[in-house]
Amino acid sequence: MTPGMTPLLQQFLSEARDFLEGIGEKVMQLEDRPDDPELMTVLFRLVHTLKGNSGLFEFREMTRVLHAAESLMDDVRGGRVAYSKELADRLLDAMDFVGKLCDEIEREGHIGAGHAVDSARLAESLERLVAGAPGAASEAAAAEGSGHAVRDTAAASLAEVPEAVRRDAHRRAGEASGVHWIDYCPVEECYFAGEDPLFQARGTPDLLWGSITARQPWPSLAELDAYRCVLAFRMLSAAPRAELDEYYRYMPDQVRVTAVPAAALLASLGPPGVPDPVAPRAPDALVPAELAALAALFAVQRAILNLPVAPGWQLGRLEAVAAALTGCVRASGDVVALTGLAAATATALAERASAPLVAWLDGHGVPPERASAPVRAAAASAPPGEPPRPAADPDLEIKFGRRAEDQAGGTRSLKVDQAKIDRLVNLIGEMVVSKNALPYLAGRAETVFGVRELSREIKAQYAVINRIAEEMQDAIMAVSMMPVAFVFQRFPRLVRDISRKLGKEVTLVLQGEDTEADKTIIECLGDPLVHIVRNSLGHGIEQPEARRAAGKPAAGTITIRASQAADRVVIEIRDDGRGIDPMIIKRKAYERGLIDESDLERLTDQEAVNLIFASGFSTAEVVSDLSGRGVGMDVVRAAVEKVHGSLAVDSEVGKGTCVRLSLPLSMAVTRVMIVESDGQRFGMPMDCVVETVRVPRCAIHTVKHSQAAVLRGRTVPLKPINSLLGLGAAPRANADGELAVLVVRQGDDWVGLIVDELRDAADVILKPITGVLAGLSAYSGSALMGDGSVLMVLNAKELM
Amino acid sequence: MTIEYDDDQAVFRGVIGVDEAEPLLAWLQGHAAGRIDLSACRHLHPANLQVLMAARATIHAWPTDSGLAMWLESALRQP
Repeated sequence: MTPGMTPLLQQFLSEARDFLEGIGEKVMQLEDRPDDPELMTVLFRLVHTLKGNSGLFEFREMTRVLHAAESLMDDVRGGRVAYSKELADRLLDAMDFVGKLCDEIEREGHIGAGHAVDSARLAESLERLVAGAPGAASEAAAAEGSGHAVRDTAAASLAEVPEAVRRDAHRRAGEASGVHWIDYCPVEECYFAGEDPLFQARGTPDLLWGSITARQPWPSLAELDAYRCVLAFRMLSAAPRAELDEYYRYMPDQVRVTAVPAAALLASLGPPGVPDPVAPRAPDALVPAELAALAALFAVQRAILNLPVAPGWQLGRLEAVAAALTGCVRASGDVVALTGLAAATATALAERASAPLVAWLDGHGVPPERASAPVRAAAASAPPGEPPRPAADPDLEIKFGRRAEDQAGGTRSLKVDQAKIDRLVNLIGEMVVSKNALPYLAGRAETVFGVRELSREIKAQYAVINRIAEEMQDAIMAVSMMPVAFVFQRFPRLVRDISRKLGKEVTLVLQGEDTEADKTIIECLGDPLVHIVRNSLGHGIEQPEARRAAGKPAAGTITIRASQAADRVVIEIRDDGRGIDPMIIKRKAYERGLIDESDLERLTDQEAVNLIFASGFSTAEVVSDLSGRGVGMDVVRAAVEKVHGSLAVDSEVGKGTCVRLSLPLSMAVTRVMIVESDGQRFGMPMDCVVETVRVPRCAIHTVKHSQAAVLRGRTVPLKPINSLLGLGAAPRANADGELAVLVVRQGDDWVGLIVDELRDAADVILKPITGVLAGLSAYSGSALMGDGSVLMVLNAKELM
Repeated sequence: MTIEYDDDQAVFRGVIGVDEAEPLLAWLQGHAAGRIDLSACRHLHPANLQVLMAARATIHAWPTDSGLAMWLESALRQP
């Protein structure tokens, strides 16, 4: 994952692609039915939503273009602007641009500065189509010619730049970054937006020179509005284009950056009024000393070319001479000569001969004899007068590849209907169950038909199918897996807001956000977690003064940690607040009639703490809008249990509280323990099974009418499953007089279920019981076994 | 850090904010020949600059800050 890529951003990107696709599709349909108002509305809504979404992030470039597209579509929808092919083109261009930005965000995590200019141009091109845009036609015309206009003004204004600065600039022009001319026209209202254009201009990176002019003649002082900006800033900078774009990225529409060819810098050194200052005329502009040096350099290179040379060295020497000449020519700013030289170099290298370079030198040797016909002819192949960094026609730069032509880059996410995934999950479940039929078949082959060989082969095949099925199950589960970060990301804001409201200082620590679990589980997790965290904030963490008095740091800490333990996700919410006082809990529970007087004495601290999960329990002294609305932890418990999760709380007075949620990774396949009693088989979900033991009859004590046994130093009540289910038969012991006991967990209580026989564990798909049997709460569902029989899965909670 | 007004001159000190433009405009309307001393000025908001430009104010002393001086001279130096 790219750094800075939050799940929210990922979701945005995936949705944005859908929207872009939808927009493209609708535009195409509009081509056929340009008057369909419904299509228009859909199109507008798509653009509108996409713009709204993009506003959630700091993607000014994207939002700007989308905003322009939105206003345009609004006008089209309202019939103020007619739909046209041109409009569709521009809209598609804009959407391609947005798509490109999305790709970049996915790759880099942010939008590069270089797009500000494109964004401004695209937005402008869309805005020009909007009805009632002031002077739409003239603006369009202005923009058409703007490329040239800028170049002309730049060249003309270069004459204003002091000579010393221009010499310096010329020196810098040879560097990789080049020299740029910047025209900055702040909007008239900019002062009201708190902008200081002069400050902005002064901060221009690598500023060489700058000047300020008024955009219009000044009125008399009495009429002057000092707060309407009518200044224009012009600058010369040696910073690279990208850096300038970055610096002016928030005002791309007010700034025009033009590359200045080195030649132009020197060309305008002549007296004002030199004809066509843009055309490269470099060598004339060199001072005599420079011309002499240039001539000397050329002469030396010519001498080198004419020296005899060993065949193996020829290429290297040609390259060296070409490099030297290129350097000289570039320094002199003679662009035309540069193209000619490049052609001559290529020919020379291809022919492995010095002749083409010598010929070029003959042509260019020393002015004024240069500029002979052959060189001009060579140069004609390249467009003459093109500066090294052309301020290209704006339309050309707007053309981004249409999506269809794009190389399939980046990860494409596929949005799938939840129902399809559910179907896959069900199917793989069936598959798991039916593959479980193979061992039965192998058993039958051996016992019924007596073919041991076949039985072995079936088992071997089973192993293969088993492996594939398990892998497939993993893969399908992974499709619907989501990181818990999806739920966690709302907490920083929540904690911040609530702690501020309560005047508490809280640091939130999130850990293990990339732990994954099934989507349904993750979605069920949100509300319980919010509730627990609210409780921690409201009841757990003390006010800063109280904390200081207790010798704790003023800022409390809430840690939310997710981790995976076997096939469960464990989420811990730990605070270092005042903890839960069992005495207070007991008293409250007594006041609310949840426990009686005898319980007050009897309950252990841990049991008392668990009372917070009892329904109708809320300890808040004052009912606030944060926590303590009467819906307490019992709601949390119910929500967690709905997804077969469990909940536990540890608390130490003065030290803090820790709530631990344990949830299954997935709900599709349930692992059950199979037991047999009175000739029937039953399943017990594995997450409530503690252990299976065989207890000798003599170890069972009967207290009043209940039976109990001591297991691992703990007294466990024993209940025959037959009597719980209303089966008449008595429990059967094995040959050694031992009873099979399945110890199950019910909250914090352990109960031993006496069964006839313990079987193995199996993966089953639990189907809820429907119809007339739905009322049987002792069962949580039924499952189909590999041998075709139906297994009833017990509901431990209801059974007790 | 503000503009100090005298009978016949305004002395700019430090960084001149946007709020100074109105009083400056008023002062220049009353003192058309007033001299402007920018030598201690480090930066001024362009609203002030506009006022100086529109008033064709006489600059008595340019900023000692050479960067600022370049900008202001380009705008205020009388041809």
